[in-house]
Amino acid sequence: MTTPTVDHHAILAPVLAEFEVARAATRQRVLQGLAIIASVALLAIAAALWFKIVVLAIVSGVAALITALIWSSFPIAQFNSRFKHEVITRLVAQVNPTLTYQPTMGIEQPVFQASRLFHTDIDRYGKEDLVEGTIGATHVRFSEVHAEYKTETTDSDGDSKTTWHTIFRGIYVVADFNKYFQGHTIIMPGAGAGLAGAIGGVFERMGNAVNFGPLQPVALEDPEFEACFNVRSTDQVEARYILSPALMRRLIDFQATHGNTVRLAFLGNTLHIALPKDRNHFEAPSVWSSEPIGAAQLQSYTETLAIAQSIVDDLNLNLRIWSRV
Amino acid sequence: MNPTILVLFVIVLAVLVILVLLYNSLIGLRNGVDQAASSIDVMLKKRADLIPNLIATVQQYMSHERATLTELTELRTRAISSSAPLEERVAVDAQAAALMSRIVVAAEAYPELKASDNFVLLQRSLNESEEQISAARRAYNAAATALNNAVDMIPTSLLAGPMGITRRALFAATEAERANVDVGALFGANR
Repeated sequence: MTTPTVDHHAILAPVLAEFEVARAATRQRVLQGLAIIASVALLAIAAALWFKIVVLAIVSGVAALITALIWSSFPIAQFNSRFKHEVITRLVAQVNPTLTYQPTMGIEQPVFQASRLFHTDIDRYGKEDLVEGTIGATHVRFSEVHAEYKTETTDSDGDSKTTWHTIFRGIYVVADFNKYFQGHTIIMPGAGAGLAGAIGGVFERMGNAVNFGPLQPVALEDPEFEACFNVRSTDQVEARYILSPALMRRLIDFQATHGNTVRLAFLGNTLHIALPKDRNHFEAPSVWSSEPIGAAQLQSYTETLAIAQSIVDDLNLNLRIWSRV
Repeated sequence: MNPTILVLFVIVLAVLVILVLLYNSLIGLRNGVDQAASSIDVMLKKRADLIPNLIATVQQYMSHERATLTELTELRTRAISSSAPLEERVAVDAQAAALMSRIVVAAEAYPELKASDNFVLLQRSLNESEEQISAARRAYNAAATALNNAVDMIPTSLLAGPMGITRRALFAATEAERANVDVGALFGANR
C-alpha cells in the first residue's frame, strides 16, 4: 500500500522546538545540581583530609557520587517520559490516527507465554511502548518486550553471582487473524535448505521433542517454506487451513524482509509475531546531545510504527472472505 | 550363563524391539491416514450442509436455474448418504462445489440477492468450507505420503507387505478447486 509522503518533522516542528527547550533546561538543571554536589563533596573531602580522617573523605566521595547519580536520574527520567508522552504520542497519531500509544504499557507476560514460542522459564519480564489500533478490519497491538532468565553460579569463596540471559528482546505483535480457528500452531525458524538443513533438522527434532508437548510437527508441501520454517500444531488439518499456499508464500517473503529469527504463533484467533531487535525503539535522544531531532530520527520512529501496517498488508490480514468479518 | 547364549539373547531381543518399533510406526502411519481421511469426511459433510441453505436463499431469484438447483440437491443426497469410497465422495463433492460456484457467479446478475446478508454470509461459509476441505486434503496427502514412503522404503517395506499395508492414492487438485478461487474475486480481493 502506498501512502502519501508526510513531512512529520515539519508538522511536529512546534512540539520539537518545545522539546529542545526542555532538553536544554534538563541539561542545565542536572549540571547545576552536579556542580553543587561536587562543590559540597570537595569541601567535605578537603575538610576530612585536613583533619586526617581518610575514611570520612572516602565516604564523602562515595556519598557525593550516589547523590549525583540519583540527582541526575530523576530529571533525565522525567525528560524521557515527557518525550514519549508529547513527541511519540503525537507522532503516532500523525502516522496513523487509528493507532494509540501508551509508553508504560506492553504485551502482557501471560499473552507472551501463551504463544509457546519460547520455552525457557521467564525470571524477569519487561515491556513498554504499546502501540494499539485497528487497521482496516484488523486489530493490532505491539510493544517492546524483554524476557530474561537468570543463572546463579557460586565461586570457590562461596559468593554467588547472578547472570541474566535474554530469552527474547524485540517487538512482539498480536494481531487478529482473518480466519477462525480452535487450536494452536507455531512457526519457528527452519533449519535451512540442503544437507546442512537436513542435519540441522535432525538435531532440531531431537532437541525439541520434549519441549513442544501437544504441538506436533506439520510437514507442508512447499519445499522453500519447509526450509525457512519449522511448523508445529495441535491440529494437522487446522494448521493447513491457516497456512494456505498463498499465506506460505507471503511468510517466505515476510522472513526475507524481517530476518530468519522471526517466530509466529496462531492461537485464540490471533496471530502472534516475535521480531527480535537489539535496540530500544521509542527512546528519547540523549539529554547531553545538543544536536536537534532531525527528520532521520523521526523516520526511525515512523519505521517502527509502520510494522503494524506492514504486517497487515504483507500477510493480507484484511482479506475477509471467510466467516470472520 | 554361556556368553554365546547371552549375546544371542541380546541380539534376538534387539531384533524383537526393532520389529515392534517398526510395526508400531507403520500402524501409527496407517492410523494417521485414516484419521486424515475422516477429517476430509467431516469437512465434506460441512459443505454438503450448506447446500440446503444456498438453495433456500437463491431459489426465489433464480427460477430459470431450477435445473442446476435440482442437480445440486441430488448431489447432496449422494454426498451425505453414500457409503461409497472416499475418492467417490470427494468427486461428488467436487461436482457439487462446481455447481455452487456457478450459482454464486450467477448471483452477480441479481443485485438484490448479491447484497443480501444471508447470501454474503453464505459466500463466506462456502469459501471457508472450500479452504477447510483443501486443508483436510493436504493433511491427508501429507499423511499418505509418509505412509507411502514407509511402504516403499527399507526396512518398513519388509513388514508392510505381511501386515497388508499398501500405498494410498494422493488427491490431486480438482478443476472445481481451481475454479473456486474465482469466488474470492467476487469480494474484489486476491487470495
